[in-house]
Amino acid sequence: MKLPADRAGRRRRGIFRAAAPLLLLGALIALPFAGLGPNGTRLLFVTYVWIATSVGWNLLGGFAGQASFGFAVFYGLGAYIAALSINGGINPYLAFPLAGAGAAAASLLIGLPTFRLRGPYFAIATIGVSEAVRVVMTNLEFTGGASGYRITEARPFHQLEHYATALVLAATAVGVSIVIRRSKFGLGLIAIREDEDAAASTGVNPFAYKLWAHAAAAALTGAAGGVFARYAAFIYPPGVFAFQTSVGILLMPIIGGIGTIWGPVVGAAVYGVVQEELIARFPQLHLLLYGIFLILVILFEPGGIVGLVRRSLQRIERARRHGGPNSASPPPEQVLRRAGSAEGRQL
Amino acid sequence: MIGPNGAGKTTLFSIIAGSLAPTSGAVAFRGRDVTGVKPFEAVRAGIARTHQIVRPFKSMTVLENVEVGVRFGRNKVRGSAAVRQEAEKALELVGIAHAANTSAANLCVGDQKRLELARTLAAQPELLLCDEVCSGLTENEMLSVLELLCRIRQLGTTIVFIEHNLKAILSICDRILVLNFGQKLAEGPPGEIQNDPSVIEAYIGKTVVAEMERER
Repeated sequence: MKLPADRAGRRRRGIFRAAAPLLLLGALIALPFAGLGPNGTRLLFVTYVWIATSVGWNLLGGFAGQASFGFAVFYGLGAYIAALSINGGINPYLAFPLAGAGAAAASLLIGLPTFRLRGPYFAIATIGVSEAVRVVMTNLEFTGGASGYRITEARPFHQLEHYATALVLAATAVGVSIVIRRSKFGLGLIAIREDEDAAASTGVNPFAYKLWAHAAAAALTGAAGGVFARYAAFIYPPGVFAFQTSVGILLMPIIGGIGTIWGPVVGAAVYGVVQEELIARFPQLHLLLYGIFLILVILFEPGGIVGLVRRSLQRIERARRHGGPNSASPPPEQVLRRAGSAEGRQL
Repeated sequence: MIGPNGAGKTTLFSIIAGSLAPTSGAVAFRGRDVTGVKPFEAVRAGIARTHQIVRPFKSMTVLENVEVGVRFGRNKVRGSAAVRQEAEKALELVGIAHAANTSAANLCVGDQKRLELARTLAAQPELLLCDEVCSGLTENEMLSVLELLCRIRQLGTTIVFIEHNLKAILSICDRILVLNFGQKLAEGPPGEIQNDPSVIEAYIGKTVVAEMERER
């Protein structure tokens, strides 16, 4: 029909898609200089840390479809590795990659046995590993055991430095996620999520691919734990290794939109803000809220917030193209597209 | 490959393609021992299978499904444009190029079977194992799938396929293997198998043979 106009529209949308994240990043860099107070800065810092873990979890849980309940292990290990390194005199900016590498190495050890299991059995195994590591860390003498571990730095504390570190980490996580999604690796992961056996008989090596996705996810989560530890300056096992942390890391991408690029980012932002706003006044209320969020997502919009927004945009578009909501039902092609989630999972 | 239900046809396929490890015996392909290899290793060795019940990657488009075969099979093309081109070629061969950008979940059964074939072919196997590609298809769909198999054979791929429709088998197969309770009952050209008394006893049935005689 009106093909040229359509194509121009698509290109305009393409440019917007590429430019919007950069504009957002620019705005976030500028925010602290535009009068954002220390509380706001802290809120955003925490949100960035959550974004990195949420995007990381999504590599394994969203792309490869392996829902792990044990990501607190990597978060906690990253926090402790970074803490020990910084106290040992290593530059913090070297300590964060070390934290990521340590967590990735641990992920291979954990993945070797647990990836022999599938679906719920894998999930249960990850809970077991995570709880075991927490108990070990609680009783480990040289990290202070249950009484925690303090980081002492010779350098003065600069909140903006932490803000920038966390922002770089979150942006890196999103970048990694985009690159993986568009690569051969990402295609293989999604094939595994859809049907592991069919993927294998098409030439994908599911075991190796799951291990690598696990390692990449653990590296991001570990680095995030490290960045958080340096900011907090004090960590203890029931905090960073908490089962609640594992659940939080998995809730964020689900609320935001599992298997998408931006869903985990949106989910982390919601999670961070809700937690920070409620935890002081009602310490346990945010847990109830996540529960409600989770039920709503599972019942009404498995695509999460991103899925909901996309569906609404499609509805608006359709209404505009077909002369308002009164005109007849949408053409069958679009009904089909909505029913099948080929597009829904893309972004 | 023919045989009664439960004869072990699909099991044999799974063993050859690496989905199952054999408890005894060996699998050799082109002078190489491929006993108990992993499925993805079998694909790299040149053996690929389709599944009896189609298994498309549902959240992907038809084209993306085939791209998985191109990227993870024996095809050496690099770069997304070249990969897409190869995938489009495979879709064209099986006749569903028009559906390239629809969701794989929305195809009808016949086209899903074609997609399964295209995805497997995209891995460029030397040996293609087709597990009941015709089941659940109408007479016309079946004929066109058989035609497609003939075309694939002409392109130089060896095909072993499991099928129950005797007419289909007798019309296009060079050799037939009959399996019964995990044992090889007979093997040979169609004419020979058709008249083998033990095969008639175990699988074809006397009435069918009589019917076919009458038709002739």
